Amino acid sequence: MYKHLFSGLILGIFMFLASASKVNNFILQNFAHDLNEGSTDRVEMNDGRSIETSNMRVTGVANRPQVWVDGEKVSMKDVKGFRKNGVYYLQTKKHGSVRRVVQGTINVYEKGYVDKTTSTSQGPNPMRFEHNVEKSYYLIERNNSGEVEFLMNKNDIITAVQGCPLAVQMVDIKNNALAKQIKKNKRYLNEIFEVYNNDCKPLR
Amino acid sequence: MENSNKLTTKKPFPNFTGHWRPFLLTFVPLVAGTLIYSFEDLPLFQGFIRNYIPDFLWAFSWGSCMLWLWNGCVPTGWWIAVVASFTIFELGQMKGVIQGHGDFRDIIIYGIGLFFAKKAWKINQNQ
Repeated sequence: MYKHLFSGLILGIFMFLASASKVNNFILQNFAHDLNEGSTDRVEMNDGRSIETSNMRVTGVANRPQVWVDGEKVSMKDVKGFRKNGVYYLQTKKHGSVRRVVQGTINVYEKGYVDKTTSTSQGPNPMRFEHNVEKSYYLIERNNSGEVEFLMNKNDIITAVQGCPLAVQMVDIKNNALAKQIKKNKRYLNEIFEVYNNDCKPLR
Repeated sequence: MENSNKLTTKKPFPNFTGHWRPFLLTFVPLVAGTLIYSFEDLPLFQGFIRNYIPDFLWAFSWGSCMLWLWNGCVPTGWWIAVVASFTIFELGQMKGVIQGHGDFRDIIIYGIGLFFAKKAWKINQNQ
């Protein structure tokens, strides 16, 4: 009987260890998606022009979207970015279209992708299964330059907000403490960059 | 005579004689995995080592611990509970219910960890 009790206890301990270590993967999918950039749809061109429209349509896949304004196709190589339904997407050569989640001196962008994994069942007639897992990675852009760089981990965030002690202080804490902050406040990572973008002043 | 025989053969659970190998099989992988997580910023612990080795060691340690407790004969129900727990854990992450990001490959890695724990236990018993 005690073995069953111990087995249950061991299960609990190992699951606790797993959850304690997994929260360290804080960077993935932890930026909030609440940035509203205005209701009017808009296309920003590389030459600085901006087209505001109430009749915009976006077709194609996320990596290669096609923007249509008033029924006319816009050449995507001339497009810097576009705003649709309050969400701004930057056009990049390397990452295609990326969604803005933080706006300011430093813009943070999210790129969603589908990770395909395959597994094969065992038995006399093995079958191959394909699983699609939705994942994201993040990029930052400084001063609306159009140049983006990866934001992969805590150190990248510290480097990005260097020069703003308040923002650095928010992120330069132990991984577990950071994970707890994110758990308490879903906007925590957004707020680190918002403090930086707010001339390094507290948000409230 | 019968009584004295019973006294010499009965080993209560906390008796550590013969337990040092299972102890090492359980705790060394756990400590190694924790160290990888603790020093994840080191260039040595990037990529595959950072992403999968701690998961493997975690499952290996769990499997060894169960085999140690049940002296190699873990009831099928408990194996099912172990596999179900980490599968639900990964699926929960995929659905966003649990913090972290789920990965089917992790489930396979956990399975491999359990498999090797059983192999290690067999080697341990044969020695």
